[in-house]
Amino acid sequence: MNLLLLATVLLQGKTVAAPVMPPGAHSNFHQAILEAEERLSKSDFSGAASWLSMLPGDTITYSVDLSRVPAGMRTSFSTEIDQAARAWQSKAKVFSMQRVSTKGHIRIFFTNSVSRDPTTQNARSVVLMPGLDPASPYMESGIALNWETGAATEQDVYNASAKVFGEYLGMCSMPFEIFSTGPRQISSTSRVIISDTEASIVRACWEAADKVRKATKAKNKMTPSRPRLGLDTESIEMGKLFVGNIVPFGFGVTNEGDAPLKVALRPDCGCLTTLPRLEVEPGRTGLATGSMDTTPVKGDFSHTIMIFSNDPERPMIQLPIRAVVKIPHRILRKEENFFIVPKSGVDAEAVVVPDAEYPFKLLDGELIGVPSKVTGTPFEGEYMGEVVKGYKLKIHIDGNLALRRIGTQIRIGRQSPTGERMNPIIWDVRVQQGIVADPESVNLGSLESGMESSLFVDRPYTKFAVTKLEVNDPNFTLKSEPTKLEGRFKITLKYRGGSPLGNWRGTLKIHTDDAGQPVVTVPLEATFIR
Amino acid sequence: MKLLFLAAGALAVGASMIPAKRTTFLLSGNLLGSLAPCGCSSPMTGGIKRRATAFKQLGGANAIILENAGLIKDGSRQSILKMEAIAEADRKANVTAINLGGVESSLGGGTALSLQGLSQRRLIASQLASDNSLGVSRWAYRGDFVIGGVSSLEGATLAQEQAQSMNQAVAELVKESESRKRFPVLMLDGDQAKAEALAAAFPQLVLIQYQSSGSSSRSPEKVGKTWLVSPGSEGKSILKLTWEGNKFSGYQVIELGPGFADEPKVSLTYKDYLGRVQREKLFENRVRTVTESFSGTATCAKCHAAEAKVWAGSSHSHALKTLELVGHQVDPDCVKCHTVGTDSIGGFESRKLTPQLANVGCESCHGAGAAHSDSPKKVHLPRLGGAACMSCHVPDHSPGFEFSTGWKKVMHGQGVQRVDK
Repeated sequence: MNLLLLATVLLQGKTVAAPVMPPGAHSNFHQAILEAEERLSKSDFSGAASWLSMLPGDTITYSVDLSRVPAGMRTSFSTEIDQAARAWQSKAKVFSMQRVSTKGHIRIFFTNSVSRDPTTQNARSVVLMPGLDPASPYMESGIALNWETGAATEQDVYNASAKVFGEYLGMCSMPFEIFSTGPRQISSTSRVIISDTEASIVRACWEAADKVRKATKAKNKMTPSRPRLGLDTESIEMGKLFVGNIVPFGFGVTNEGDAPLKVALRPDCGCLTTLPRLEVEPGRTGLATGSMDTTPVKGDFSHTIMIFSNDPERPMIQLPIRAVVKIPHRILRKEENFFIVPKSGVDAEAVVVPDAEYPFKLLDGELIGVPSKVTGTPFEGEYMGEVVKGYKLKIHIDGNLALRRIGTQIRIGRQSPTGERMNPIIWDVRVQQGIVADPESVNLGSLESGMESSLFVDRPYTKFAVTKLEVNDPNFTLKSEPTKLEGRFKITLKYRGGSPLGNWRGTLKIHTDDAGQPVVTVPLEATFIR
Repeated sequence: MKLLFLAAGALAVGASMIPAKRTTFLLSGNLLGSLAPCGCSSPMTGGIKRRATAFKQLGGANAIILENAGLIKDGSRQSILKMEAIAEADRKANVTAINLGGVESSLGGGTALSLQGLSQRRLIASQLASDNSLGVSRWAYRGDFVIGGVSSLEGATLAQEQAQSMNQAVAELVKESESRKRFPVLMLDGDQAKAEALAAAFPQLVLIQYQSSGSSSRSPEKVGKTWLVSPGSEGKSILKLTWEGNKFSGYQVIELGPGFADEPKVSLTYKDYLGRVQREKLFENRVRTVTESFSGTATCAKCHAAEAKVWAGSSHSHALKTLELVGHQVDPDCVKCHTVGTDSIGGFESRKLTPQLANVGCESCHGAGAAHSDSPKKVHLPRLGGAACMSCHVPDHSPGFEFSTGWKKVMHGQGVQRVDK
């Protein structure tokens, strides 16, 4: 009697633990494992072997039927399929993929029925996964391609094949990056890259199948066990939040099964952070925690947290997370956020109104990079036609600034009613001395004959007049007209056509009657296209 | 028991007849400054270049294409340049109307004038006075519809030109539509609750396009006969609706994935935008308020040789190069995640001035380290977990990123095995 036979005899009848599947495993793969375990528990070794014959072993075979593919495309399509098989083989490192002429574990064929994306009406590839029976243990996958319009590409064949192989190897399709954000065309401009995570899922599935296979071969018993995912909520409702805060959340994950539950979490927004993974023993509840940074969010917030688990019935679910994110304050100002400063300096004001549900005390303010003083005092009364309660900001900007535009921020400190320092209010403003052009440079874009664009030239506190307009291209008609606002003129440039086609940089000179600032120069840029 | 592998896709939708008086609506907006999908890793969704292609493919000559407000995040100079690029792209994509919302208004009247020129008078703002000096129309007329645009943001900064409250403006839009025997459509710079309130107050509105963060809803909400819809945020998808027989149908969310090619004319606009960002030195001129002292990765490497070796073999060590290859090395939106300490006065400025802080370095994750390198035994930098990666490896820029996979590529320091597990 050789040693292997002796070991088999000695181990016969032993009960071994069932394997633990990884989160993200294909539910059907997991179900096949459970079916085999069920039979092992009853010492039905041939029944278990029948189920295991469907699952990947050391050598996985696939056949390819190219009879419906036009002759000129067969070679490249065939190569793409082989490359997808090799990609899984080299990434998973536990099995070999071998192409056979017939009766492979996987049969890939092409169907000439054309599928169209219902939204775009573009042709797309579709992978069909027909039934798989223990009596006939191979999987058929049809790839529908619209080669008549040339919409199908070699990448499509690669991606579709990679998906077919991945599902056979135990992947629930969702962690596959190209399909990670929901329904998506397989059609892509690039070949999908199999990630380390995906390879590790496939490897863990293969190892689980291998463990059950060895138990079957050794005629060991195995108690079937499976995790069951229970969540204590169907959605995370964050309610009303305010911009600029980090708000924690959490939800309970209960393992209602009898095998360890493994969960991986992936939020679909950069503003959400969660625990990457969680493991929960049978009968226990774990807490999945995370936080939401409301800084980049405004208004209705509706995202999801993808939950991958090793519950065969719920390998992937989307947990909605919702909130309404409000701006915690308003800044009321009668003029634009553009401070036009005389040489003697200027005093301006604004009113900061905290949201009633988000009170704060205003602290110091600072106009970054500009000699100035910003102070706030409590204010209650009518402002811009409404009765408000908040803080009046007094902004003094010193004169004698350089004659150029300063794009900067007013940062206003604040603290909570309980004295905690809060994030400052950041208010984007522009500052400039003298007669100013707004915008400071004019992008005319792609210009055709007859198109026009305008700008303002402005100095609200001292009257001035526009005396002459010049542009260094003869094909513009220029016009200046006063507006209803004191000290503001509207300058219009109309292109008549005739300039050399292509990119152009020019200058608009606005002459004034102000001896201290006789010319305001405005850079222009355009692309003449007609 | 029989094991079934499920069908993974649906089959064809047949062509349908196109009846008369049928109008296609394509809805976008709330881009929040996302002109292009960040190129960190694929597959990325969104971007004005792809969106223009989608408009062309899905729209047709008589489509009504609406660009709702929320197109930028703030009032910075970069946002002005972005807004100009969006306005020109909208003209090239034959957008019907652009709602000038609260954030756009904060850019000022001069910018609004510029946007009018670039979009060729596509801006609308129903709350403005009809004789406003910006030349902005209160509504747009197209086919059977009058299209208005309002903002729920109070204290809008075009106060000098503003004439009406939001509700007054919507009332006038409805009145204008009735007098012309057309249907009123509203773009709302506001959330779902405000849209519901307006739909209840003005049941004549056939459609309200509002704003929401994240993905668009999978089905429209209906208040009476009014449809309430949002295409989500950051331009990752657009909505398609069909108006036929005096009602809407065929609600579709179209994700702007790589299946949509870049539209060539809008691609030029985007290229021009990047050129302007570079010429105006927006990155160099950005407002920096934090004072921190950095050492640079080379200094760290003197003591942490093993970690530096791992870093040198990682993508982090040439992260700035990846931006340079696609012309984004001067874009403040991008540079902050490809260098060290861009918010700080002592942080990265340029390859020439601060070469030691180019690329993602030790201090990108561990924080400013000058104090530690001066007194390594007294000042310690923190050990980190996955959260440190997630400030840059966000789903928008790094879809599919998973800490356990990413960490293996840069694994360093003591206890890494424990972290990985």
